[in-house]
Amino acid sequence: MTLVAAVAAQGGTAVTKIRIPAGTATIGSDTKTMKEQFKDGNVRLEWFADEAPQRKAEVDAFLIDATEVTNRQYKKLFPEHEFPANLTDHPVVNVTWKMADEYCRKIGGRLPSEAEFERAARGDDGRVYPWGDDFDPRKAIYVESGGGGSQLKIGSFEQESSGSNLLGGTSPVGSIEEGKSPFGVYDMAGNVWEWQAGWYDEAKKLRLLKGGSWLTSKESLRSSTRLSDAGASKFNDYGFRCAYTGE
Amino acid sequence: MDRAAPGEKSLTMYVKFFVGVISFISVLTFMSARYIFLNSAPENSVMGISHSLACPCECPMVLEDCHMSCGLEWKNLIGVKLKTGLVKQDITSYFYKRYGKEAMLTPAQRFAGKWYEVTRGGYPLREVVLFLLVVVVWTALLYTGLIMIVERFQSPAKKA
Repeated sequence: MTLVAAVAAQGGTAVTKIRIPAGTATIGSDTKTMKEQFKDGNVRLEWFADEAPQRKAEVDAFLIDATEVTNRQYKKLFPEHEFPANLTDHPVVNVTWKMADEYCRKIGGRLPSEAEFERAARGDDGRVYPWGDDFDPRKAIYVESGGGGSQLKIGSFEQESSGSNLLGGTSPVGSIEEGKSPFGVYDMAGNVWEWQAGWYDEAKKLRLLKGGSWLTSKESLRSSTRLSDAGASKFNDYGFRCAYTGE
Repeated sequence: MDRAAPGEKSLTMYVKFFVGVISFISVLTFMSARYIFLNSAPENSVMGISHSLACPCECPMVLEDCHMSCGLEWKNLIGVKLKTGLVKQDITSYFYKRYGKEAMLTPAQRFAGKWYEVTRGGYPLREVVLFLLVVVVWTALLYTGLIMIVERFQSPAKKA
């Protein structure tokens, strides 16, 4: 694999960037494939209909953060950011699209596009999950990961989001080695939903999120899953990572 | 009019009893199912959508019946999404993608949720009696109607 990993100072903290070579990105998923993927559950195909049809797009080479942006990194640039002391290396959450975009711009980057996200997550072969085509519960932080990494009950954050009785929470970034993508990018499935650069629906002012989170079930961990939300939304399962144009 | 033979009379009684039982079961099933599964709120409304979702709080309720802060937060989220122009399918999809099966209801969960809603403050004797009274009234109406239909279509020979 022709990867170049660079370590750069991001918000005063060393951050690994992964070079993703130019190539064809597989975006979305076909209805027939989804039918096959959902045959064992009570999942309705129409809930994921926005992924179809699957298409290909050429993507120029770019760099992307190896991990989601952490609380430590975010606080370096935005000292007013507050978070529980034990979550330093967990992904930053409760950030709006604008906050995420502003952070990335400040460090010379930008939010990734959907094509870039899927290229970095699905590799050259357009796999379903970053680690391959078959689901493996040990390779992502999601709702059945045994309470998540932090054992936080939802509501521990100032920005209460769901009030659910689910136990769990984010895990430190890059903590699941086996779950990384073919290019070596961590947590592209699970941990937190990641804001993307583009719109999901510009007319309705909905932004796009990808990757699933510690709250989602396995269907949402597929790299083709698309979640929409208003850019002003702040939840404890929404975070981001940055991408960088060029090589 | 001749008297019916003893065997014929008991058969008629059996038929009437059978019609009565069927009427009672039908009315009871319909009214229970209506309470559990049907929703009079418009589909693309907060109550219309929360009828299809589970309460995220520590209770087995259907979201439409949940008035705890976490439930209200979800209802508020539904309202915000409706305002942006999304419809029921978009919003249900959003909840499934974000919260998975925890946000969804199976028929058994819906039944359990409604049962919890009814009994959480103790067994409401007055409401149960009232409900049964309504069932009895509707059963009587249905029974009378069915018997009239049966009699209308009885063969003239049997009528005589």
